[in-house]
Amino acid sequence: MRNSIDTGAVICSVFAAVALFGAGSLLALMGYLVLKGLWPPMRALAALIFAHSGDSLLSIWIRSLFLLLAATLLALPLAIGTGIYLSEYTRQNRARELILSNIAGLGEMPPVVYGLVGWGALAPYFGEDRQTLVIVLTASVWLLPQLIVAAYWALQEIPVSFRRDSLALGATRWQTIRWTLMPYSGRLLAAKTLEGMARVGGEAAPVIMVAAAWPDSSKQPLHILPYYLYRSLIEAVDPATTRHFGAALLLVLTSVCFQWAALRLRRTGVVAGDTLPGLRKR
Amino acid sequence: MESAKEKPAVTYLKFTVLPEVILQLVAAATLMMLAAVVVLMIKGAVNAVITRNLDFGLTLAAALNSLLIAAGAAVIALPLSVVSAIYINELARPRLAEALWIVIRGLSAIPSVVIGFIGILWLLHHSRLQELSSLTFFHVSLFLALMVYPSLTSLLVEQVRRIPTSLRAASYSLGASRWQTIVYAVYPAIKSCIAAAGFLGVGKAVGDTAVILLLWHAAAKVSPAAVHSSRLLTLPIAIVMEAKLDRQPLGIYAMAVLLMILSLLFSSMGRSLMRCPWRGQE
Amino acid sequence: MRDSKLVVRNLSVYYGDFQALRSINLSIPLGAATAVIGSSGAGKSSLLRALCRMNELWDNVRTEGQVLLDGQEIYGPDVDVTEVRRRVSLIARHPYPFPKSIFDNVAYGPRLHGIKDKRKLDEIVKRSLKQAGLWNEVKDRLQESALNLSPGEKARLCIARSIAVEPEVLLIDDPTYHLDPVSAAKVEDVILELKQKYTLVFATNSMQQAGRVSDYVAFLSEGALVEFGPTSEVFARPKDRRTEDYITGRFS
Repeated sequence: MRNSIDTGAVICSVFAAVALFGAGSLLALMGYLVLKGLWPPMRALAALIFAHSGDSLLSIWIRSLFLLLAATLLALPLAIGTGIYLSEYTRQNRARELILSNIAGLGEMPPVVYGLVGWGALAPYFGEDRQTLVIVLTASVWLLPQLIVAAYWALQEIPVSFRRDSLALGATRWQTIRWTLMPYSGRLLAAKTLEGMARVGGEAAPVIMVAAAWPDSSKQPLHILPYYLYRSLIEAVDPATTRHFGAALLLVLTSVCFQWAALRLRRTGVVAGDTLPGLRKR
Repeated sequence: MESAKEKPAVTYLKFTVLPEVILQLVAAATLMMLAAVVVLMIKGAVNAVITRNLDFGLTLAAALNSLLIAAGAAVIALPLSVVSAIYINELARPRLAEALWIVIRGLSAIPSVVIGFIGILWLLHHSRLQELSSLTFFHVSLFLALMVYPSLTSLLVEQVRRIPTSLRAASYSLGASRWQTIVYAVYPAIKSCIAAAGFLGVGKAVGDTAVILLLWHAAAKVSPAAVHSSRLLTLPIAIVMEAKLDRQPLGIYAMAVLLMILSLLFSSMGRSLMRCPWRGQE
Repeated sequence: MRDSKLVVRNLSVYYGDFQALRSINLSIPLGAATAVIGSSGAGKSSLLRALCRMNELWDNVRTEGQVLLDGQEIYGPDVDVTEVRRRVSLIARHPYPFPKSIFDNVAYGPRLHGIKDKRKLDEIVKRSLKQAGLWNEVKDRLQESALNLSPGEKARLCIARSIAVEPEVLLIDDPTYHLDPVSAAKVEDVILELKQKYTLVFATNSMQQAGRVSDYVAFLSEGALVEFGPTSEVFARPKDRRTEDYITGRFS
């Protein structure tokens, strides 16, 4: 018996290999087709987003929304991580309060200051060709302190009894965060993120600063709505044109919609629990 | 129960460290990034002072202009905000109050470029061109007040909302009328919040760029004399102007640091006055 | 005297400068219900929290002395706190269910400890709710939010939530706090049932409750353990003047 080969196993593995090969090649083929089919529209979208000159207001609007979204997605993971760390892993003491109030202060800094970061630190580094990237990075640096504070307070708003009960059931700190705190802080965080996006998305000053890094460039970042409005208002002989009104309307509508969505989210985000004096929230 | 004797109380730490390490790294990187922003500013400012690349007169004048304009805006907006907040919370019928609150929240998201656009329209349509030389602090403050008013109001509405009902009930039970309750019970309770809102308003207005920049350009187009008086040269304007002139003018960082200090000063003063004494009351 | 489940040696707890517990020595008997009585501020809650290392969550708290669970130190440097808290589960005074469904509340603990199998979870939830005397009331609405339960049901739900992690010791901080007499009686019935299975320690302000439910009584006064013994003995013949005054309701 020792030398005999288990024919069943061999057949099985051959079958498995054939099946895997077949399925794999089929999948690859499908993937190729999907890529082939979707590539042109994706490229067109990318071209629309990253093109430097604006044509219609709608395309400018879509581009600036995408860039805002990119900046937010860039800043959000970092901000959430930092917020969780500050809220749940550091002791509630003077040092933490100091760090937090400084971050909050940074979040309330005038937008020109962040523009200066883009102008002085990012623009020389990335160069004229990557202006869009510089603007996105500037926006996400500006969003960062706002979102850190948002994530921190979203966690702190949850009553301490949640942490206590979870820990009393033998959860680790991370489990408590993951299963007890994060599900209930999401709404408030989303609300505050939307508020931050409304602020950052409507502000022209950082873009003005980044554009000022290359004052003679032909590639002014006109594909960003607030800057576009600013720029064309400056250059226009008569500011009261339909195009300006349209741009202003789009800008207002976007910001106000973000703000109202935030308001709705905020209103339904309350959880009941115990706030025990002395019990630390970490 | 039966396993109690077999299971040791001492078990070694479970593999739960990984998320905490990741969090720690993310937090450290993010905080360092934010610190780098501040360091960049301060380094530039110190360099400017050391190498005497700083026009002290210009910087101080710009700071003074900023402060005057921002204070003007806060002075104009604050009484309106207080009255609106009290009206929304104490006098308006619930549905109207709700609607007003939503509108105010939405308005507070209006981008400053749009306010600047409105400012330009007003300049061109409601003042004769010859009078443009009289574009004063007052005009600019007026538009900044327009920008600051909704956020101040929504801030105050939230504060008035926090006043416990028991306070009003006590006032009514002593035979006070609605009006007396507002004047003797509600208003004193939000006194410090009003001061806080004033400071926050100045902090917000001091860093505004787009409104003043647009007004500046509009005025310059019609009559250059209006601009040469440099009455509108605030810190953010000076920063943008210098950024366009040269690749690395150091004075710009000094101005930015000054602006940051001003903004931090006002917002932290505002926040420290905003402390809410009503914790735990109904 | 029975075997000891938890042994407390020279336990002192400080909150900053304030000493909440003054070198307590106590052996909590296995498989019995021990009532901790004393006026508010006597250190009842501090004692319960110290038994499962929950006091570490409070600000600038310092714990001295030893707590031995089955003869092993729980304050040692290599001890896994979560394991201690799983084995010695504390039910807090204010019963706040998580804002999830009833099922998810009870399944919260088992899920944390890695049980994912739906059938197993079902079984654990059912058993825990039965033990907490809640099954018949909620079996048809397990997926409803736990926040809609009455206070008494919430209290029992929190007990069920703790039972679900299969602890060895249950610490209950004032189980009938703020409950009406009917709900309180139900909770007491549950405790009487539970003491057949678990080592129970509960803090209470009510002498009647201690008399009805507990086998042993520990009387704390101003952070110090004044008297400890079988309930019948302590209630019938208190050795200490203070205990006697407290039990009979005489205060000078």
